[in-house]
Amino acid sequence: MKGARPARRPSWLRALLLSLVILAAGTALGAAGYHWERTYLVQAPEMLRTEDGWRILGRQNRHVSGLGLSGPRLLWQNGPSIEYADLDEGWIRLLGPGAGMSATWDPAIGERYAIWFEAERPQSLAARAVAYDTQSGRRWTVAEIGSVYSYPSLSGDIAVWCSARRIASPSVNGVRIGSGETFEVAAGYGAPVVSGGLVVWATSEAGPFVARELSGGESWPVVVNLSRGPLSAIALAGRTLVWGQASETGGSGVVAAADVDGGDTRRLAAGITGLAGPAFDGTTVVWAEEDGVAAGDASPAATKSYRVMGRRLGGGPAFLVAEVEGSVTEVAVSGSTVAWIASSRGTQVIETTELPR
Amino acid sequence: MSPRIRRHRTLPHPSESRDRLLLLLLVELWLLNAADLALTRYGMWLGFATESNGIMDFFLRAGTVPALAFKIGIVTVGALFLWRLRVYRIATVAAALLAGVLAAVVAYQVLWVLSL
Repeated sequence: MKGARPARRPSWLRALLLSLVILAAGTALGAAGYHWERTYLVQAPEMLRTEDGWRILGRQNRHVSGLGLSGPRLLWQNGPSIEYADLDEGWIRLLGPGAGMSATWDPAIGERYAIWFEAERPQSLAARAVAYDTQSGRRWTVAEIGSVYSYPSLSGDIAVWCSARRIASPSVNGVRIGSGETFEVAAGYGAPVVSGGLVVWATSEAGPFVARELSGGESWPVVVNLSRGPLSAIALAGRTLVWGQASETGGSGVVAAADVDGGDTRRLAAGITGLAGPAFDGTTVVWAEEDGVAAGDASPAATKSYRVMGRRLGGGPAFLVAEVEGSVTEVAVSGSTVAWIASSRGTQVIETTELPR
Repeated sequence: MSPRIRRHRTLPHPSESRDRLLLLLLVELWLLNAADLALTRYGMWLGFATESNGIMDFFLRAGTVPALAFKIGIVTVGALFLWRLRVYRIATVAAALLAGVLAAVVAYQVLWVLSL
């Protein structure tokens, strides 16, 4: 026929190229969808290098708390999200909450595992403890805990917390993450911390403390000199307990340490206003305190400045770790790294730095 | 029959070139389907993924072998059905759409698994 195009010979190569173009178009669509979701829905925090550490900026202006640090692993709660950063590698992962869960509580991180609680709603009587293995990258529900009375504390593969399986019947409970074996440490309320096989808990928001050895089962009251005011934080490493206490009166904050087996209470810092922390890794105690009004600045929003302080338990005076604009709400320390949550003009950031040598 | 009602019948258009494209698309669809199952299973093993398709969730709960048999089986039957209809252009169009959508799903899953 005049003007008719001659039929093309069938070609496997042409068919393969055409099919690959179709797959490439689909792949590009999937990748674009993923990046759109990360950018506009998930809005993962941004991790920026600083001179001697990192600055982590949330993009959704949600409440940040529950800062935990173990080696280069940093964990925190950002709104209902549990976020995890590797300070050596410089990346952030979203660990929780799981599908259908909208409430989480402050997490804890240890040498290998991390643990936090999740529930469908904050007042739920059916919260569950979720563990994450930093080596394998797996997360799983390690225990059904009932209602949450305190945040978890973690050492090795032992996690402890206070929860109630029945209404108004709290108890200090624990789990061995590796085996999933749960156990009760003691009946009654207590905000516990754990180190090795030793659990110490404050029986009220102002103390006193009780200790229990998990292996032998013996428990005893920890005799320390407590000052007035609620506890700001307690930390346990080895057999040394460190705590902070502050009333609403300015200059009333105290950071102190004592051996859980008895002995004198050692005041590490006193006369503190706006105490945050302390955190303790077995060597260094770190806390944050208000630094007063910045010179020449009278506006209420901009006047607050804090300083992050450290003190080595082995000896020596307290030293300045960092000066922070705005207020500091939490601190964490592990080895030579210090982290804190700073809040300034309604924005919260997590910053890390190295301890001065 | 009412004159207003007109029946359209798709006419067969046999083409060896299109047959080759359809065959390659069906093989790719089958491979992408296996990759989708493997990535879903891996995401569930990591504890970060849940299967939102109720039927597939039932088979995944029953084990990897039942899930594999169902997912591979149903796509194989679908692929054979499209191959039987290869004389119609619509069979190749359907295979291209399915392969493109599944490629998008697998690309999303790969990026998501890499972010964990």
